[in-house]
Amino acid sequence: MAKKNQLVIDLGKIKLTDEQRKSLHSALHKTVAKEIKSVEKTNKKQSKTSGTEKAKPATRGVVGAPVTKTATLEVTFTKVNTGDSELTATFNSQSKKITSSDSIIFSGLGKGDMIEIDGTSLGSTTISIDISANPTVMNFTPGNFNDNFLIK
Amino acid sequence: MKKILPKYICMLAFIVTAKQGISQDNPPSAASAIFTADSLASGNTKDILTSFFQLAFQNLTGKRKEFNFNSNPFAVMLKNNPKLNIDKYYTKYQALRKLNFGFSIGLDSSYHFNGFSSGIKYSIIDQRDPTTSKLLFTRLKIDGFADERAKLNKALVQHAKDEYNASAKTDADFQHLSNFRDSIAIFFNIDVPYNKLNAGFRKIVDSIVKEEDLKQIRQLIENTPASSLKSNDTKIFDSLKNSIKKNLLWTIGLSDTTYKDQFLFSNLVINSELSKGIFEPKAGANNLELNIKAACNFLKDTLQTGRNLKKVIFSFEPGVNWVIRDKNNDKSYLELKLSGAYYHNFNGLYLGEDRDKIFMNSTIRIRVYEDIWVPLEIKYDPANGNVFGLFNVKANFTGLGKLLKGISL
Repeated sequence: MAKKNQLVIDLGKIKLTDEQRKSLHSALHKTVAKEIKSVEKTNKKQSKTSGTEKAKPATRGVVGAPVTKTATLEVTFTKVNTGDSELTATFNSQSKKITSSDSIIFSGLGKGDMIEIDGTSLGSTTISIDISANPTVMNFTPGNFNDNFLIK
Repeated sequence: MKKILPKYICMLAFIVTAKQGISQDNPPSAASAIFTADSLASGNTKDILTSFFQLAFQNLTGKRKEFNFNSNPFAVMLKNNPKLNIDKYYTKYQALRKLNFGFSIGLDSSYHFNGFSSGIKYSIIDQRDPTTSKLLFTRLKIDGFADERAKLNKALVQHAKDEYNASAKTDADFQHLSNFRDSIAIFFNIDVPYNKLNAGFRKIVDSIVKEEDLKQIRQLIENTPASSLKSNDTKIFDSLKNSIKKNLLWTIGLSDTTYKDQFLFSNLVINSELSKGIFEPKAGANNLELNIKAACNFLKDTLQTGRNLKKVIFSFEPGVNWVIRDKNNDKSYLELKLSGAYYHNFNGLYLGEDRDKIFMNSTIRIRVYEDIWVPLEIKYDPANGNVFGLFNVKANFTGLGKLLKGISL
């Protein structure tokens, strides 16, 4: 992509956590995407009138960095004592285990990645994910269970 | 009483026959029949420890009738705040979950107020609760079928990843991956017969099962292809829950009764009750429960002036409860309890009164609808040849709730 078509934001010495970076990324993307749409419309109008070169569609994401996401899984066990449940979430051979209601965070996720869920509980289990995935919420009755989140 | 007894027996025989007839004519469908551990508990167990609400009309035909309400404080709190079901609160309020409180209003034969009673009960040991049983959790964790399922899931995910990474990763490739994930989810979590799943997906599963040597899953999909992993999981979990049904339940309690014209105790009872299944429970099979009650009753000595609690009677009631279950849904619908009762008067013996008394008791409980029970208690005094009958109705609020919502058996 031509350098003149990139948008670079210098954060100076500010250090960001994964959460802050994700939040900032999302806010920037929304604003910039909106602006790009209006710019595209203007360009189209201009190209129609001038009959010159065809405008390329704008691409999503911050240029220069790989498009990865951070996902937070919220796990809730109900009608059960703490310790009488066990859930293991696995992404790329990285496993995280919890034995009571808690959050699990994975970073570096890309489109097509899968998070494996393997658990046991004497109560009911609900798991939700905060990024675009299939599915976004899982519900399980008491017993053993397995499922997978597919990142979109 | 001797004339009434044959009528009761005829009535019981009719209800039991009718109930069996209903069960045979209309087998419950797997989809509509949702049974909780609570609904499968015996009526006697629910009398020992109520898990939600229980309403009872005791001694309906006698001179001293009672309108009785029992509940669990945690259940009341949960009604107002469903978040208390989350594990950290469930653990925090463990003591409240083990507690029952109750009160009753006594009525005489003309339905006039005849005193107020209240009481609390605490379960010291409850090994039957499937939501707190460490034994059940351990058995679930070491279940070989679950272990094989986790291995199969891992292999299926790896297969999907390899296929996607080898593709051009177009939108169509991603859609194919997404469909494959959905097939895995249906295979593990939805009760769809294995032979109805996508043929291509089944081919992959079959090859992984052989490759990984997953014996239990292979046996299931080869021998019973019309069954599903989900239904097999449900069977395993139900069987594990059944295995703790005969375990120990032990409660202690304190109850009191006031005078009808003054808020002073006319009766104070400290009691303990223990219940334990005798045989290894099997789904739908009848079983025997050992039931032992002991109580110390402090009541008014009428020979002494003023209101007092000087008469002290100790009682001990060992008994056996025969639980007859419907084979189709594992719910008990008839229970017969035989017990002996020994009474010893420590203090406040009246002239001509025996210090020690022995009774033979029997209780017949019939589940007339969901959690509505009709217990008929018959007491026999072998020394005097007297027979007393107590006719009660006990209803659990969940049963009434379902009744009002029109959800049938």
